[in-house]
Amino acid sequence: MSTVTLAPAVVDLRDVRVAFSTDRGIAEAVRGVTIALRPGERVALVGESGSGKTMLGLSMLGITPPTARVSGGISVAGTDVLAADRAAMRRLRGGTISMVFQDALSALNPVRTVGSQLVESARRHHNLSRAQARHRAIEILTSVGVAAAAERMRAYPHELSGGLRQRVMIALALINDPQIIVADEPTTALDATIQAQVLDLLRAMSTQTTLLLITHDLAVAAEVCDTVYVMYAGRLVEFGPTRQLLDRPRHPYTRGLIAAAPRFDARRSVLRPIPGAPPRAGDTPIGCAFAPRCPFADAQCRQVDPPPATITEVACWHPQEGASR
Amino acid sequence: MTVQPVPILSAEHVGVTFSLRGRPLHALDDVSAEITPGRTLAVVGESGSGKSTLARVLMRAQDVRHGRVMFDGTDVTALSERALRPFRRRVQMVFQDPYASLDPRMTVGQIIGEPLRAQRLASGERLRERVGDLLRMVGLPAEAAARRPGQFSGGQRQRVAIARALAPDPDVLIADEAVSALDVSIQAQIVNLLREVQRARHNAMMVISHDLALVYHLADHVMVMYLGRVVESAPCDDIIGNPQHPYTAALLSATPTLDGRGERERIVLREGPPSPLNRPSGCAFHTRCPIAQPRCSAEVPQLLPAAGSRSVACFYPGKLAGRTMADLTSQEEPR
Amino acid sequence: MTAPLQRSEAPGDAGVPLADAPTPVGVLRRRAGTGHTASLYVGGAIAAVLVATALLSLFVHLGDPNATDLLGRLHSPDGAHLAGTDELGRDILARLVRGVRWSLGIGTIATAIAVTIGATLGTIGAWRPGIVRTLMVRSTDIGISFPFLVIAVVIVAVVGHGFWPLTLTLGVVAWPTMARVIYAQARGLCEREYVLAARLAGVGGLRSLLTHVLPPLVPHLQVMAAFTFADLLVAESGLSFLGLGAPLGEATWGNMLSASRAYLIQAPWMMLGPATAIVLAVLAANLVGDGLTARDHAKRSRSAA
Repeated sequence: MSTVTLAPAVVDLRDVRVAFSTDRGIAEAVRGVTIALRPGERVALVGESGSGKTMLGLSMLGITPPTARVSGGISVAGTDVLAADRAAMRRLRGGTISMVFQDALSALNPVRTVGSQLVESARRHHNLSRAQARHRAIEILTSVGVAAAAERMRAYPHELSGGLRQRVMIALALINDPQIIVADEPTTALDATIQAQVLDLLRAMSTQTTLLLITHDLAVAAEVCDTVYVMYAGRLVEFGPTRQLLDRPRHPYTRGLIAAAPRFDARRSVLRPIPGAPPRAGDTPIGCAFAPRCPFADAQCRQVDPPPATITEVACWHPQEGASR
Repeated sequence: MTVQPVPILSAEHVGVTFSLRGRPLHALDDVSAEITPGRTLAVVGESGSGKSTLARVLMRAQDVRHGRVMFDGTDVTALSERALRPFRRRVQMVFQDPYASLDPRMTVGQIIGEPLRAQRLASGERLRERVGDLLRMVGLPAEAAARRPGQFSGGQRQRVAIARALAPDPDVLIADEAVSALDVSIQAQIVNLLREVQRARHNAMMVISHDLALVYHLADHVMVMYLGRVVESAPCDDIIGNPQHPYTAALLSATPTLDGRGERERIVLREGPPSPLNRPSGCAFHTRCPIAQPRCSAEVPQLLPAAGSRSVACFYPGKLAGRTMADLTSQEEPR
Repeated sequence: MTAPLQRSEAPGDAGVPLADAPTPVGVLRRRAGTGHTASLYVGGAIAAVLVATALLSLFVHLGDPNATDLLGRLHSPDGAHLAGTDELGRDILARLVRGVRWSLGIGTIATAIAVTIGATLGTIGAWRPGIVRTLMVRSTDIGISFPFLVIAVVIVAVVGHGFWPLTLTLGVVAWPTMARVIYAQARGLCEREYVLAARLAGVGGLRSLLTHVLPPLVPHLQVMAAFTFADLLVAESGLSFLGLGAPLGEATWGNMLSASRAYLIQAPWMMLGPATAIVLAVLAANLVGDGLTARDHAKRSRSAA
């Protein structure tokens, strides 16, 4: 393996923790995650409920709920998100890093036209005249596949179909040429054929933009991304190049996810689910969080948390070898 | 040729029309479906396909304008609620949203026992025993009966919903997107549970889903719907391995799988789904179909039987084979 | 295959009862404090005092509201008459106490009538679409738009003055608003998926209503009852003031207020007595209503997941 000089990370997360205080004490949704995203990478953050993936995404833009306490190192394009003031964060959001949410209907302003929202964003981050911003908005809408963009600009979000709304959200995210786009379950609410189109769109984005795709669906991650990070109960359990992770998963949770995912087999095999359910934030057991559901867990797993995942090691006392199926 | 089992619940040439803002919305147009004991029928389609309406028609929660619904030899299409009582005991449904389909103020035991009490099938000690049996059947501990739905996860709530559906010992189980709202690893649990339940009880089952991959693990027979009509109907292996209708092929190619893109060419559909209020002429799919011909916008293709208990509604079935549209630009009409 | 029992999980990711996406709603949905208990306690305390007075006066002689003393008329408050005397020498305090019975009595019964009729009609209208719903909605509309005073005048003209005519008037006037509010709430509840699930399982209409729709309505009914009570109290006083309510001479707050007009300069205490009583009673009812509303909100937001 030749040594490659890596470009400096455009998003650098070090031991990020996101905690809430609840009536049962402190609940940590994210328990020490370290990720580095390089320019142009397409990364998937995969996890189920309670994995903390959404909170992690929100923390990168500094938009976690006000009751959340975020700690650790969050550096986005050189800016320390936790130390930045409000003005710096406003410049960052929408300009350097932008987000595509799952539900376009609640993420877009319902009382303003789609065009006005695009224009506002463009003018806020660049010194553009209204006409220039309009032009840019039409340009970007067309590039995401919205035909008759000039007319569409005058529509309100609720007047558009789901797929169209999602394209508008992506346009909103792209309009200022951000370095990083965080997409949180962007296609979950869409029909299969529309989902495929939106995924194509995400895949076709310029190679200069870094994409972080947050999803619970490994298959979606496999379709779009080159690298996959798997999260469970607030921690990273395994990560690596997509094909490698899917063909030779080493962490029992990853293996379990793959075995539970429906796929078109020649044999119509029975799905192999993971028994139990993921723990809620604040309810994580002592030791490895996955131990209660893991077929390979032993006493050590139930008492001691495995070391964090690295590029060569997974967060497990008993990593498994061999093909996934 | 083996004797085919007799369907217990069926819809025959059913048509349902709603009126939206004065315009007609044909939610179902000449749709027929059969559910047979011991076998699972999957109905697949996207939003606007009419699959949920079909489920409601079969549950007699929706009236029909044309056609009829037969249950166990009886025409139940126009029966009053009172006359439908025995029907209600024998046909049960599991809903999509495990958070909305359970009354948050009742305990799990009360929820599961409600059909039994309402239909006077059990009471007192017998009722408690039956609830315990049902909890066991769906893999929940007996103590669950005293707790409220809010204390359970989505997957567990869906198990409660299944237990409730099984309480009156129904002949038919209809699952309307029963796993869509759940995590992947939990989906697999519920899918396996439904399979086991059917294997043990030999009940008829209908599964509504938008996810072809999921359906593959559950169904014996698959029906694909588009804008209120059935476009293709075939045994599960046949339809997945060799789809005849272009829409089925497109749906298959759009379903993301763990194998990633691979060599599978994606069939890109032109345009977006038309509004059900604005049905295209002729074959409703012709506006997006990659192989549409002039005939397709002029005539409506009928659902015609093909080899091996299949039927397809297409003038050019099987002709798709890997043609793709080069441009990504798509045009979706506003609702 | 037994799954461990765990707290519920939202379809999204947050491990705590907060909105998934960072919308403003999430900011507002903080953990509710206990501000509501103050309103509830204070209002409840005042109400308790009033009720206790009313009950006590049934058994214990707290002064004769009708004993006239023409020589001692219009005396300012002193040791013998803590609230002074009115134009006929009657003890104002004793009359206030008698007035409590009247006001609380009418208020409670009229509210009960309004709640019963309003809740029943509202729920039925929400449950049954078609002609039943249309009938209910239209009659509610008519009821609300009918001028309150016209109804009062008509009833008095037909039935005469007194406790029951007044109660009837107020009940008739108050039920439409109640019905409308309950209708709106019940509509949402009737459309819940668990109600449909129950119907499809063979649960009858009435049973569904009683087990699924009515229980969540109770907090709304309580709040509405409290505020309706307050409104009716003021209305009753107004009607008596106008001469459409209690018979002349009867010791009611409205009557006393009416009589005090002529003697405002000479004997302001004649006005102060009943005015204070009315204000206290209405304040109590409104505080209780506020407290119940806040408590309901707190319960709702704490259980939202």
